[in-house]
Amino acid sequence: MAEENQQSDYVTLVSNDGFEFKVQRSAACIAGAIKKMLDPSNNFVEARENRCHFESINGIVLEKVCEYLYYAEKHKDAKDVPDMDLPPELCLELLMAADFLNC
Amino acid sequence: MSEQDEALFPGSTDEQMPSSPPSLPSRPPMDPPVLSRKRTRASDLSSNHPSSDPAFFSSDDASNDNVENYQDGKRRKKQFRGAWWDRAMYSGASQSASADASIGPVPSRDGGKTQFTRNFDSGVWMGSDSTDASTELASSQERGGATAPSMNFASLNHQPQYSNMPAAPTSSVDKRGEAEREAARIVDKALEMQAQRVDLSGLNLTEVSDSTISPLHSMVRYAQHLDDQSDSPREYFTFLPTIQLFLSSNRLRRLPNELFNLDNITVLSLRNNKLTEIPSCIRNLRNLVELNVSGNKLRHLPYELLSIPDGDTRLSRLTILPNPFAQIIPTADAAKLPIIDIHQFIGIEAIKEDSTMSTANWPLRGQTSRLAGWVTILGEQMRGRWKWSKRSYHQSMDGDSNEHLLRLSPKEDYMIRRQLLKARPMLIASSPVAYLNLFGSPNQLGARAPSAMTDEELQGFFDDPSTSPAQDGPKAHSLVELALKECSASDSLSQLHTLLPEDSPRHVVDALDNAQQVKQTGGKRCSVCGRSYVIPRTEWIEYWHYVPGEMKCSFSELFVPFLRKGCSWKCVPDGNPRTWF
Ligand SMILES: [Zn+2]
Repeated sequence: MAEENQQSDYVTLVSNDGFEFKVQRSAACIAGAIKKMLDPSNNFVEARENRCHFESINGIVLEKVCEYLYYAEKHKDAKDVPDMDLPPELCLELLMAADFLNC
Repeated sequence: MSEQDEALFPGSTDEQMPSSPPSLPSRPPMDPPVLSRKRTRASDLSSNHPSSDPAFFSSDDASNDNVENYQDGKRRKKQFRGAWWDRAMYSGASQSASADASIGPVPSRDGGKTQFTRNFDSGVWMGSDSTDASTELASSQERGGATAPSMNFASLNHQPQYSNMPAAPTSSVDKRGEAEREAARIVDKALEMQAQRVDLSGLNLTEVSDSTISPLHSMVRYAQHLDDQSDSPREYFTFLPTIQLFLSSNRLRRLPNELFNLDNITVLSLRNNKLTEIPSCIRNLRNLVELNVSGNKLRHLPYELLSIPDGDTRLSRLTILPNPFAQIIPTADAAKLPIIDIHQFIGIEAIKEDSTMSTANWPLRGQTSRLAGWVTILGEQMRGRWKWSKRSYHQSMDGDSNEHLLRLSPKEDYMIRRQLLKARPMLIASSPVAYLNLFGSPNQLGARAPSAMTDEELQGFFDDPSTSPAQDGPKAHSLVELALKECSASDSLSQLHTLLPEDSPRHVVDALDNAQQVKQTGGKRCSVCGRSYVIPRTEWIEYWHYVPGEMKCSFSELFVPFLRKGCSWKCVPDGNPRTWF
């Protein structure tokens, strides 16, 4: 996978069990932690490679996180926002992930 | 996600540059096997149960006693019918007992009756479908059977999916103190006598449990149940008993959640206690005629109190003083002022003449400009109300000539004053908005939320809005909020924190506690957009003039602070003060 220009439209989020999710940068940056990681001025490896690896988040959870990021992006300026449904069995892990990702 | 890839993580990326995120303290203990098992359960729900609603509240299946429906044969072994504390009680009999339990009801100590019924009204928050069990609820306490330590625990029954479920209490002894047992006796007596007045004042109570209050709920249900058998739907209401509940002169620091499910309370006295907050779920008590919260430690009232209907037949006596309300007007001499006739004080004569309001006869001339400003605002609003009242009165009298508006007979004057009495609360001033982070703390380090500010800090906050610059954020709820809401929907909310890693951040654990608190008090609704939420993201103080049913009030009652919260950074005051609800 070639990493070319730093500000690609898509970034890759990788779970601890190896699942990769390509996500629009604008959506990914809704999560404060990801935004920080991808900020070139912070000089993190993630910013250079447009790729964030999460040691503490598994694929199932990360998939939901990505879904949330798109949901939040989509409703950014909406007046009436329906709550997104989360699977009950993931609620604790999503809570931990949300705290970690700051979103 | 459409962009999803399933490639394995290469793991060979060179790590010369620092990787930014410190990884989480440790992995959450929810490893794949647990996950998959839970998911199995979830799919069982959908496949075996025709309803599309997942049976997440215990009351869902408690009411029709069909626990089996939710579970397949494999899981049935683990199943236990009855309350979870019963399980602890019978743990001596161990596995065989609980295996038997899946076949039939567990015999309770006092003979054939199953303890399952004790559990029926799990609904601290779902109280509406327990009609025919309410008598059981009351009587099981008289029997001295295993009393739930708290009603909330009832929701934990048949929840075997967590292997590391914390141990249940080892004894079923009534943990309520002597004072509270006395209170429970008084409640029972009141039920027996069908008395509407329940006087629990002066009992030296430090706490009132839900289980002490909930029998009052059953009185309502009983009346309702009786009435269901009659044909006339009208009788339902005549049967519904109103309750006057006196909890005054105790040492209460918090109120039982069950109290706010008693929507037939008409008189509630909380006078002389140690309450620091009136919960926002006070809005549930829609039939209040009289509320007394004087002599507590309140810094402000909940905004939701303003939504209780007031007027002639509704909330018409609200006693709030003394309390250490947040004051941003120096009130050195205020306490010494005599009782004020509001209309006279703000110059009702001037209002009637339709001239500009003057503060000439105002006893506090020379006070701070804020006070002068607020009194002017109050006067303007009063004048607006006066005009409106006059107009609507005359319209109702079938005359709308302007000339008519100028002359008022004494009777008309009286009528219009009555109209003014029914006036809804008036917003006087609003503090800047404090923006709170994902976990509901002030955004800036060391800053305090307005609700926690001292008088001086609050004064500074009002004076200098720039200390809290407007923040832009999505209207959508955060993932933290959505996850917490999902946690709240779980039966085992109170146990979820035990599933977190030991070294989880404190604020995450606290957030779960908070979610439970919110759930027990009937949930919170955003005061701006109305969505339900767990963590407030905005908070501000509004001063209102609200003296329902009275023409007179003391100076300190003129402007009372109400605490208001929003659920997203977009949920802020809309700029147009809403004077009519
Ligand atoms: Zn809102």
